[in-house]
Amino acid sequence: MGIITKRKALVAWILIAPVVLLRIFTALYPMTATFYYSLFDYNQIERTMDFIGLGNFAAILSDNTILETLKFTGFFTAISIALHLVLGMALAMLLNVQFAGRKFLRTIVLVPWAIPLVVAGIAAKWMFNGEYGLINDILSRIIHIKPDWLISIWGARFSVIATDVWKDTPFMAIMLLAGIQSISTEVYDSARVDGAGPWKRLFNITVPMLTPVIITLLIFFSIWRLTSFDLVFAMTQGGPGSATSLLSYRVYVEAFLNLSFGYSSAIAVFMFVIMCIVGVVGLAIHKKVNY
Amino acid sequence: MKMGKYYNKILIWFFTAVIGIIILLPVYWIILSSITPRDSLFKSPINYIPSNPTLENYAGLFASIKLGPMLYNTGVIIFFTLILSTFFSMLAAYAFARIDFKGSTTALFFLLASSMLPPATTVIPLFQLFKVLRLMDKLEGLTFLYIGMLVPFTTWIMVSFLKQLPISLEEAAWVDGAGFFRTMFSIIFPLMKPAISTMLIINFILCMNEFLIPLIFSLNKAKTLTMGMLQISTISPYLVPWEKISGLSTLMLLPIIIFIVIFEKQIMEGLMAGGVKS
Repeated sequence: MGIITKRKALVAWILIAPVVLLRIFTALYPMTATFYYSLFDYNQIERTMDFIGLGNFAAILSDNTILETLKFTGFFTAISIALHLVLGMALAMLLNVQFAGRKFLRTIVLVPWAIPLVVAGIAAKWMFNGEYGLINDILSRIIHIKPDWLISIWGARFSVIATDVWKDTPFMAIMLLAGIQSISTEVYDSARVDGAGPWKRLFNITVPMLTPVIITLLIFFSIWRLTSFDLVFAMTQGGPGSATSLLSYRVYVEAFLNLSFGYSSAIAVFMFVIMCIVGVVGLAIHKKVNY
Repeated sequence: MKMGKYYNKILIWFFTAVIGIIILLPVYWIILSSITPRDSLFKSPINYIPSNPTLENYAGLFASIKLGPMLYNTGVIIFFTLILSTFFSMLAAYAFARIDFKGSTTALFFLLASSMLPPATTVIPLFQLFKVLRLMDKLEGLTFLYIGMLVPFTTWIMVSFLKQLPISLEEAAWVDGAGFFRTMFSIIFPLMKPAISTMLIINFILCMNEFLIPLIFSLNKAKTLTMGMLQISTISPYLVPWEKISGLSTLMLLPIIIFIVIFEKQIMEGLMAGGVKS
């Protein structure tokens, strides 16, 4: 018996070895190394590699541009997630309706999800162009205004959030739809018999029963926003100034433009810690709601 | 009562139309721009019905960047990534779903937790490792990273799929004297076809979209289409070559849209399966 169990375990480990080794090389090792580098004044231009303990973290806390980046990252995450949730919920309900346009709706909803973020970001840059962009063309036809979206601080912030919402709300809606469809129809039927209208059914059945799913999705979507990179890279390069700079984008700038690997690693670790806090708090809420 | 139903229907179609416009208008405008003469693009207001469509933007696009190699690189990377990530994930999923072994939970947890790591926390050490191993700007190197990116979720979806399959088929095969590996390859893997095709479709799209990996690890020879997109948009710091950007965007969007129209059901089911379980 013992031998069979041992042989089985050996076979299992051989089967999972490729996947586990891949993740050790592409995730575990590099993350550990990033933690290690974060303790060094490690710069490729100045060719330094000196141990400075928590020096980089002290520098982060007194770096005004990082604080501004952090503020925008928080703002971006909060606003974007709120819009994702409200619009995603509405879209999920619509996706759940049986009607002739269902197949059409389900197909087009996948389009923003499948478009490469760089394509969406670069196209959005042109779309929000003050003179020739699609948005201003429509606005000037209807209400005769032509705001300078990407040149003003709040205009640029709004544009980035709007693009992010356009790109990712459908995905949120699909995830919510999965949750809605896992609620048994009997609950709705008996509510209908009891005379509950559509709004009552939404707030008394769908939302409460979806709460665990919603919280899980909020954790994931927040973490993706906190660590997102492509959109801002393609659309605004963090500008104007650092008005739309996100933490991951700063990691990239410090590492591959300024070649200060130590400082960049410290920002990455800092971001990782924030992400863990969001995750832990989210899980705590999730547990509380579930029991 | 009947009035209410009618009213509901109008509302549903109204919202569907609004969503359709919000999603499809930008896509239409990109495609439209790609066949509009350059001069008309830098004019306001926009002409939404093409008056004299042209292909000159595409000619300009092909003349200004080498799309051929990028298309080839993207194709090669995706081909090998899909085959290898699916194969490795199937092996691992079989072990996780069917064998009760020590460390199984920990290993699966490690896989899933590691997939939450932001790429920004891993790129610097990988960049250095790739320089030492001479994998920079090589298709092999990029493929390796793409596979690494896809395996956690793919394995997870396959584990949940396998757990729903009844074990009786395998037991019957064992009784007939088929060995462990024979059962796996000739009984289980064929049964996994739905999960495999779903993951191939979703992973194809994720590969097409990948940006950070080629940005950091390809310099020149191994550039992908997403890098072509970046290159074309940054040719000049003073003007945006929208005629070329819209051309390349269209070339990337059309296959993706056709793909979605064909595989809508499978993509939807695959994404939803991932959603419910996590």
